[in-house]
Amino acid sequence: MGPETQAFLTNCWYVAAWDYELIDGKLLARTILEKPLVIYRGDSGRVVALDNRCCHRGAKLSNGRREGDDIRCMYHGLKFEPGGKCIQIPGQDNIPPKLGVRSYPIVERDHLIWIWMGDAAKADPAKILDFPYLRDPIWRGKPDYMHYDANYLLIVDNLSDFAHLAFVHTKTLGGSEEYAYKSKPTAIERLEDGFRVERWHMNAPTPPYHKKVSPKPERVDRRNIARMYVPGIFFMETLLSPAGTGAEKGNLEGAKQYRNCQFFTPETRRSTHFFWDYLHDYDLQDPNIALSLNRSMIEGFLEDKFLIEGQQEVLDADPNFKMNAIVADAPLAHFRRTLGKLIDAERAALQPAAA
Amino acid sequence: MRLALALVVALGGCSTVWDPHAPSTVTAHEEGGAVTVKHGNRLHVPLTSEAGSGYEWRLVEPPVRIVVAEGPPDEEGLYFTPVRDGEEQLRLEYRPVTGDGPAQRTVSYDVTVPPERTLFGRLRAAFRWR
Repeated sequence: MGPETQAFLTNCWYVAAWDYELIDGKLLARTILEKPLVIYRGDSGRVVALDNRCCHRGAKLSNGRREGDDIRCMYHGLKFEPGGKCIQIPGQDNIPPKLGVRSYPIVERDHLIWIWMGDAAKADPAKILDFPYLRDPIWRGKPDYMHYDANYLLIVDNLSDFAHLAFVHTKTLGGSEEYAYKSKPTAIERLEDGFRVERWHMNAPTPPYHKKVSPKPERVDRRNIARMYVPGIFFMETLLSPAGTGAEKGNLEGAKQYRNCQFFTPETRRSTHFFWDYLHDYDLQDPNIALSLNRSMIEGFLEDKFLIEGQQEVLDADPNFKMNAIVADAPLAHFRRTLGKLIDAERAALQPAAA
Repeated sequence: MRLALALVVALGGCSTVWDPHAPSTVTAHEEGGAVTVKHGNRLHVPLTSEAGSGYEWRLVEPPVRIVVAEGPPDEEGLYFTPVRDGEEQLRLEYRPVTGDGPAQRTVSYDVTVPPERTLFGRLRAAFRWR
C-alpha cells in the first residue's frame, strides 16, 4: 500500500484480538489493514504477531505449528522466532541473515491484544488508550467479537449520533423514537483525537435491554457520555436513574450504570473487526446480568450490522456517490477531519521514500 | 468583484482513498466575498486564529442563519452546514479572547444557499413568483 493509496492510519495502536481468542495455543489468522497476520501466544506467555506468509513459498504460517515461542511453517519446515527471523531451514545449515517475515509490536493489556501496524520504532505503549473498567473488579462484562462486511468508518459514523438508537434500535437498545426528537446532545466537545458527546433523555421509557435485567422503574432519566477516538475507539458511560429523582443534579440514588468499550479495527477497506464489552457495576454475584446484557447488545449490534452492511453495498454500487451533510453530522465530520489530517501527515512523511 | 471572489472558491474535501463518499466541501476565500453552497455540502471558512495571539474568530452576524456552524473555530477555521434556502451575510470578527477591546479584523461573506431543483421546489417557486 503506497502513500498515494494509503487508506488507513498505520502509526497507531489497533486492537488485534481479545486474549481469549488465543487460548489453547491457537494460531489465529487475522487480516488487519489488509495485511494477513498470524497471531499466537508462545509458551512463555508472550503474544506474537507475524505476517501470515512464509518467506520461502508463501504458505500460511497459521497452517503451521507453534514450537515454544516460535512457529514452524508446515510446508517445508522453516522455523521463525517471535521477531520474525528464520532460525531453521531443515536440510540447510546456512541461513541467509535477512531471511524472515515481518513481526509487529504487540502489547497485551486488560485482556486486549493491541498491535502497531506502522513504523515499529514509533510504537509507544503509552499511547494506548486506557479503559480501566476492564480490569476493575467492581465492573463485570463479557468481552465479545463481531465481524462486519463494511468499512470501519461507517461504524464510527453510526456511533457518532445517538439519534440512530431511536430508529435502528427502537425495540432493543433505544426504547422509543422520541429519543431522536426530544433529546439532543447537551454538549459536543471536540478533542484533539476525537470528540465527546453528552446526551440526556429525561423521563424516558426504560430501554428494553435494561428492563430485562432491571424491570423497574418504568421510566428513567438517561444519560449517555460517549467518547470517540482515532482511529476507531469508542467509550461510553451510561447512567439510568429513576425518572425525576435528580440525577442531573448529582443524586445517583437508585441509579444503575454501565460502561461500554468498542474497538473498530479495519480488516480491509470494506470489512472490520469489531471488539466490544458492556459492563455493569451492580449485582456482580449474578452472572446472568452480564450474559443478558451481552445478548441484548448482540441483538442491537446485529441491527446496526444489517443496516451498515447494506449501506456498504449501496456505496460500492456507485463509487461516485457523495453523501449529504446535515447538522447532526458535526461530530463525525470533526472525527473524519482529525483522522484525515493524521493520514495526510503519514502520507507526507512517506512521500520522499516513495519517490 | 463579487463574481471574481466567487470564482476562487474551491470545491474539495472529498474523494480521498480512505473517505471516498464524503460530502463535498466548498471552501470560501480567506478575504471574504460571495460564496454559494448547496444543500448537502459543507461550507468551510478558512479563518484561523494565530496561536498565542489572544485573539479568536467569532461569528457576530446573523443570529438566524441559513447555514449553521458545526462548532467553534478550530485550527482549520469554521465549518457550516446549510439548513435553509436563501441569502445572508456572515460577519466574523477577530476579537480578543477575553471579550474586551475592538475587533482587529472583520471578514464578511455573502452566502447563498440555492433552492434544490426538485419538481416540488420549482412549482413552489413558480407560485411564489406569481
